[in-house]
Amino acid sequence: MSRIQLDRLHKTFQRHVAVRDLDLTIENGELLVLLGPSGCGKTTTLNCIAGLEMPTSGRVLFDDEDVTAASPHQRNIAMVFQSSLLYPHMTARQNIRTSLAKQKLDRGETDRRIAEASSVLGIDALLDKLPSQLSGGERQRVATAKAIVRQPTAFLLDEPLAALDAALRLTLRAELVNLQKRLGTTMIVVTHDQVEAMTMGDRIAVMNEGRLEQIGTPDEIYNRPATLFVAGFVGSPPMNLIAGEIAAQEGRTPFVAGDLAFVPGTPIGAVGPATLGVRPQHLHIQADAAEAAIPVTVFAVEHLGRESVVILEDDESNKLHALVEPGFAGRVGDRLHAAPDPAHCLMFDQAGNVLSHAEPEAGGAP
Amino acid sequence: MSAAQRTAELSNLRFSLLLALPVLVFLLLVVAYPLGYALWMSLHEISFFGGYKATFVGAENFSDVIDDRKFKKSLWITVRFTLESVALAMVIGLLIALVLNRKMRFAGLVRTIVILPWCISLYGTGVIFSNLAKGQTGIGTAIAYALGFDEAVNVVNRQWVIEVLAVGNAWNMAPLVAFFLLANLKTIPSRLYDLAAIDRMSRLETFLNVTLPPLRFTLFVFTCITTVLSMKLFDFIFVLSGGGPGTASSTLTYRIYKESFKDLDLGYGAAMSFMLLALILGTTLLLYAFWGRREARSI
Repeated sequence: MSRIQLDRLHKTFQRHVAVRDLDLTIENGELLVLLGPSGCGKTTTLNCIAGLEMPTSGRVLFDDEDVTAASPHQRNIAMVFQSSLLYPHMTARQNIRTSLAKQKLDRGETDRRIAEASSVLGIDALLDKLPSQLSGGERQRVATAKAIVRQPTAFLLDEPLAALDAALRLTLRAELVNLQKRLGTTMIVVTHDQVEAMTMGDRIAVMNEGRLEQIGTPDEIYNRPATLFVAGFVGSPPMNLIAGEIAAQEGRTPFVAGDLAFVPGTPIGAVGPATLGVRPQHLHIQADAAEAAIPVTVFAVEHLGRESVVILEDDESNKLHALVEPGFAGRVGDRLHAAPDPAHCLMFDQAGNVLSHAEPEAGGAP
Repeated sequence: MSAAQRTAELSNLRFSLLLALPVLVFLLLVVAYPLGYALWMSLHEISFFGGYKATFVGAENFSDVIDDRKFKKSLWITVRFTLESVALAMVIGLLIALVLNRKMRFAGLVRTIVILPWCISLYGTGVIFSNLAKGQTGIGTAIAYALGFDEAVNVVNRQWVIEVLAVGNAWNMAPLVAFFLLANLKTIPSRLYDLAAIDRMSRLETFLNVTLPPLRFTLFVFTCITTVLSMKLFDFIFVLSGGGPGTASSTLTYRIYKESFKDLDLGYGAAMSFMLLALILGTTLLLYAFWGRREARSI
């Protein structure tokens, strides 16, 4: 168990900058998710923490000790890779055993630990099978057993569930979180799947183009995104982003975009080009025109059972998403008006930084 | 479908036989007939002088071959040549594959150059290595002169001629081995090397546990192929050493050629060629029994 710190971590490949001056602290026993689109530098960051990649500059600290130059084994980390990588010619048991081969444990202790790990993960019956004889989920469990058997200081998981089907992902995701909480070991999970990040992480670090966009609890990331990128990346269906500008008018500063003239719940001082962000559940659909509503046409209706997603198109063919009750009667082609809820709107300046924060609703995270 | 219609059609078996007929005829002409004729010859004493005459002698040719000291010597030469050729071809092939698998500039060009030896006919390879190894034109002499000695170095001698042959043969075969191994190497996920690093495997352990396993089946297949090719090799030896000096490089194929077409003892040569066939079949069966079965199971 340990606290991991990244101190101005910088990594370039030839001329391509993968990670840009990253400062990050992962607390002892915390489950941190590194979230971002592919190519954002999250896997490179994980490789640097693991010791598989040498940072171009900056330091990696485990419990305040500089381990930048230490090998993965010296750091005593365990790693689970995408598609649950195992040595293909070894049985599950042999695969798990290689984790302990250089630990100088006696045979009894090795066998005891393997038995313990395999009973925790429920893979006792699979130990003598080859990876090719295991299903994706079984391989994932064996790879996890191989990781925990070493009793590492930290678990590093690189897209551990990406190769599995949706139902299995759901099950294993809960199992992984449960396991991490029981063991209390620091865990870092890399993923590009925002639902996975929201459900697993104690905190989420959102990365983009090698930079840290925001770090915070799932609730903070969802309800109080610091940048336009985070706002657009997290949430499904995605947040509606409407480009316009903040106009200076007498006594108030409305946000103006086309026909929309909208006064946000919290006053904004700045004036200039801006983007309005509103979550689909806070975009209300109404039949009547209003100053604070956008005229739209229904493009598609997706019924999800508990609710429905209405995809709307404004007059410039921009798509907007709104969550509505399942009884929504609108049909494709209907003319309606979409009104953002002033209490739950975000404003972003031209650089993509947030200008105002609406008060987060209680229990707003999905 | 009515019964009348059905009788007008061919059964599946007949139709497939009809389709296979051209190939069956071809195989009968080029495989079954020569093989049967060779078997017939091996049971006869055939003489050309004083008129062509074939006398049935039963298994006499075979028992003569088994007692023949020259045959035993040729058998040993074949085994030695084959072992050296296969070992060199596999090791060189593997090394080339490992080098080509690294990231490098002009990888395509390097691959093109590396495959070239395989494109040269064995006859051509024979001419090249004959000139490289002989005293008058060889690199041995060139190096000796460069170092200040004034003596020609000829490696086509009784002691080293087999090794010269094996090196030339391996030079010709190794590129193909390398390319098949390279194809296997490309399938290894790079993350498996990271896993090995986390498990603190040494370079040797990483090679044995990550690099080698996906190559083993290909190594087996090419050991079989190069074994068969080396045992039945003729043209290359004919051009390079002509079975000499003396009989120092008279492999079984060369001995069969000499008995059959120079001494015109066709029955005896045919019997010897069946011995070679038995050697090839026996070796590959042994390779399969002790190695191939295990590899086939693991894939």
